[in-house]
Amino acid sequence: MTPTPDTPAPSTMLPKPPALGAFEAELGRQFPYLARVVDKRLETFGAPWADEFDRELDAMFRGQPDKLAQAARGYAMFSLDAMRLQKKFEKTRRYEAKTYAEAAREVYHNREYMVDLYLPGILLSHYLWPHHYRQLQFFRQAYLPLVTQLRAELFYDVGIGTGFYSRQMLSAIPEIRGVGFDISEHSMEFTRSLISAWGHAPRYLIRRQDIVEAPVETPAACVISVEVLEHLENPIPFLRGVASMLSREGVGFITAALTAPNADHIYLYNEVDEVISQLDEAGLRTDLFQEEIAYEPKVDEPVPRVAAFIVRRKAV
Amino acid sequence: MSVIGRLTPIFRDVFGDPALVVTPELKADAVPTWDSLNHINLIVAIEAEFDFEFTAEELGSMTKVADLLTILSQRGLDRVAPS
Repeated sequence: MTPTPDTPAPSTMLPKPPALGAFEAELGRQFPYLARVVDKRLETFGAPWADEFDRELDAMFRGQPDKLAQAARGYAMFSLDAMRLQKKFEKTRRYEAKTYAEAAREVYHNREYMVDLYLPGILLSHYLWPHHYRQLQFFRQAYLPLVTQLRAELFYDVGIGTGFYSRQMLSAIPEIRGVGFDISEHSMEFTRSLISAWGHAPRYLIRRQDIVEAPVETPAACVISVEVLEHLENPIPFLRGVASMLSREGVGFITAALTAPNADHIYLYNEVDEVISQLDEAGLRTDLFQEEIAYEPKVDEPVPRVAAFIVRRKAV
Repeated sequence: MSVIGRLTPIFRDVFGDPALVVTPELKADAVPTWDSLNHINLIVAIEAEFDFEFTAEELGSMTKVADLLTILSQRGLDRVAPS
């Protein structure tokens, strides 16, 4: 990006690979101050972060400047919406009252919101929000080696969202096949696009299926479910469904957002122990977990957090 | 109270600088803690103070405090101070 006299220059203007540079320029064109996030994350996570984010952007938006611009806008507005809700949450310490049916209608089945804002926003947040990127690092460093050890041939992704974690599995383990489940046609469409962009479509199926209402009968050695629990009124039946999808020797990766309001977050987790307790009640033993914060809190300020859990079925 | 007078405590709180002087020409380069996260914090705090929400286009046009003052003026939010 070439700063004009009235355009704030990124703080250091570190060199970037081409797709990341194009994204930074686009973000800076639409939202001048927000483009600084790219340099800040590059300073924190280094060249490997820049290279993999560059590949992600290239795969999804190569030759599609309009889509890149839409994604940049989606990310900015998604981040702003999240912070607006976070400030309300600081006062109330509650998520705005919403039923699952309301969230489904307002968010999951709302094409304009999902396609223009929510899904691109979440996809980019996996690299631009530090707690999301650290969760990804935990997935790679702690979970994927277990999947490799198991020589797993099949994984399930329950609540695919953008398909980002399914894509990670498929890219990391060339011989594995996956099945993704979601209730949103827009998530399915977005995931199909992401998986295809990476050339993984022949190894991946997407099913529109609520695994509580229509349980999956054939277990898999690996089941992942990323940031689904907080979208539910009662996560226990869902977790029981996930547990039943996991084979006896299998290993699961489940995450939850804590004190992190969003347009479709219903179930409030304040502490990691609450999630571990629910996993236990659903028949899942937590072997390892990692919790990350979005930013350093001020005194008594609740900040968005994510927690990821590596789980196995409890012995009967 | 002037608009700048209402904005000043917000800027000082968000950027953690109790001596920050807010002028129409103030830009991020002059404030070391004005990063992307604090920019969002600033936007949300201004929205709360003036009881409105910026549009994406307004956010894109904001490069210094003068632009913010223009937006508030166009919305008629520079006229009434809270009691």
